Amino acid sequence: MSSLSLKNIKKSFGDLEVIHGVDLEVEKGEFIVFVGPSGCGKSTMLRMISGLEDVTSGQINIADKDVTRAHPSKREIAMVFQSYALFPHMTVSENISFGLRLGKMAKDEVARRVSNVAETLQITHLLERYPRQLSGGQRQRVAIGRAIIRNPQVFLFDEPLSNLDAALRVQMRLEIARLHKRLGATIIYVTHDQTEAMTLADRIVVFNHGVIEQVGRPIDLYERPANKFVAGFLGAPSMNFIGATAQQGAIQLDGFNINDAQRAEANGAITLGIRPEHMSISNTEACDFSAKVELVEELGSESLAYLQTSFSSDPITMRVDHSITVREGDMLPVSVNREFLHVFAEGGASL
Amino acid sequence: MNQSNTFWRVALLALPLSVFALIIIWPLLSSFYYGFTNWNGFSDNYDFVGFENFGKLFSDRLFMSAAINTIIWMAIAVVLPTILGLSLALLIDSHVPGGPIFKTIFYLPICLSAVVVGQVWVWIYQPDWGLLNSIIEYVTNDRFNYAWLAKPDSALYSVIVAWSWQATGLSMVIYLAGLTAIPGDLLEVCELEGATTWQRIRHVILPLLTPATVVVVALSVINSLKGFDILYIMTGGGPFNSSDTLAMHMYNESFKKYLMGYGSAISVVLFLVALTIIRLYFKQLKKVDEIYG
Repeated sequence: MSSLSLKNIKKSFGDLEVIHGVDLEVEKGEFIVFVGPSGCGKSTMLRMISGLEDVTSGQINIADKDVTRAHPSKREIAMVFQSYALFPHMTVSENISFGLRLGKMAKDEVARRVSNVAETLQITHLLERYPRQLSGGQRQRVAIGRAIIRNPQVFLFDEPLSNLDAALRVQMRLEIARLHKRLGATIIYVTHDQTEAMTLADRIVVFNHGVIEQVGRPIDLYERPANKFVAGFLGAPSMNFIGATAQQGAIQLDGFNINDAQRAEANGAITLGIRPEHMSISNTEACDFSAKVELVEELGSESLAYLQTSFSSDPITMRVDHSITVREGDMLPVSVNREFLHVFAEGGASL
Repeated sequence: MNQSNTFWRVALLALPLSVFALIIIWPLLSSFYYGFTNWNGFSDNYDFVGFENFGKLFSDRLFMSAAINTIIWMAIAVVLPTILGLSLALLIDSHVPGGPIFKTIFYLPICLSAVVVGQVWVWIYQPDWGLLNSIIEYVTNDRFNYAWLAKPDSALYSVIVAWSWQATGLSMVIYLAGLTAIPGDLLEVCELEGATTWQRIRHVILPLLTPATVVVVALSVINSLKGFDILYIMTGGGPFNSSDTLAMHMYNESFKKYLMGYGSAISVVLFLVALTIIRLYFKQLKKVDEIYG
């Protein structure tokens, strides 16, 4: 059974169309992450699913019911906001039970449910505190608690970890993943952080300029991006792009021994895409190109070397194992793993 | 460099401080002093009478009725402009058509001086051709010439209504600012949780407007304590002192009966009441800041 279905969703603000027809099917229990740069439409899409934003055209089904025009409270969804959106004048317990109390649920049933949720999120000891007395991570847990207690068909998370510091973000990411496993809930999660997307998602939906660029498992998107945008957006540091030409499938680039790489469809101007981890320092005389090390960033477990080459005006980023010492100014023989070489046509489509 | 900075800071502060001392602190201390004398306001000869003026307050029937009137004024001043201002702010914030125009209209009375407002309302209350009686006549289709300001039963309340009309604009603006400060996502949570309009107002908007309410109530209380100018224009404290407030009584005793010593004693009492209220206000403000800050 489909948990959420989006059919040709369009959204305009006045004359400006910002979502240009989005189709998506989400299975029950799936963890879907919407990613994309600022202004790509991912948050607008989430708000349309929640009902906080009207749909200009198209249809939204939740649990096979058409909810396109339904009030947000009738959609069986729960939303967790980036700002936590906790009521400052209510205790944790009152915040979590807000919706149930509005619905005039019996007090003992409310108390039972709050207690269950608090136990799940390990915040039982915080129930009588006010939001101002909580840390960022605890506040986010309370916000998640308010969502869980509604027992919704779909959870919507709008950049929930953006306000947390780096260490807490990693911890909360893990907790959200655990929670998803435990509840088996359908989650739509918006983020601009690709690490969150890669680690949490069953499937990632990459948005750009109001359209879906690609949908798929994180590893599929990483290894087989549909186009240059997806290739560049996923992966940190991002993929190196190098302009080249191709004649009848043979790639040519001065200073780069790439002639052996073939793409039958490639012709004319193309772009090569090489991830930093798919290059290595060659041990033999035979290498693909020589490059001068412009800058080295030591990250502890590895280093990032920024290379000057004769064929690219931008520096090429290469990941280097920490056991290998690389110094600025060194000339390096570099080999590229052909298996992971990406080629993009002039329009950006992957070849 | 630092020394020259300090010099300029002190020099720049000295001028406003000396003006403040001259027109606020000196008269304040003077009235404390004269409260213990029988000075008539212009003579060089007066005696120190100790607490006699303060003792007299308890036996002064007019002081007691003025104190009660001030409390009535204060109570209505807290309720009326607060509720009206809040209602108008909620209405305008709900994006009713013509909201900005209404906002300007309701705010306009604040720009008028109390004297003008008082005179406008004197005309509104005029028994024979005033707007209020004309409307009542129009509605009831019967002759109506009640003299609102000339009857002891209605004079005070008529003035309070006029005062509240002016004060409502200010509380509306304060509440509108408070409404703007409510984070949009909290209201979206209400929508997601299925709160009705009344539930949203009662459980979320009103509590979140507490800081604005504290300011509105404190301003209303403090301004009602000062209630003098509009009263002077509309009733002059009459008829038969029925609309006298403490400020009006103090004026009458000091400048009409030339009992400056006794008038000063009344002003000291007024000052102490205002000080207590301001203290309470700051205490409440601190509490509110702890929750909402």
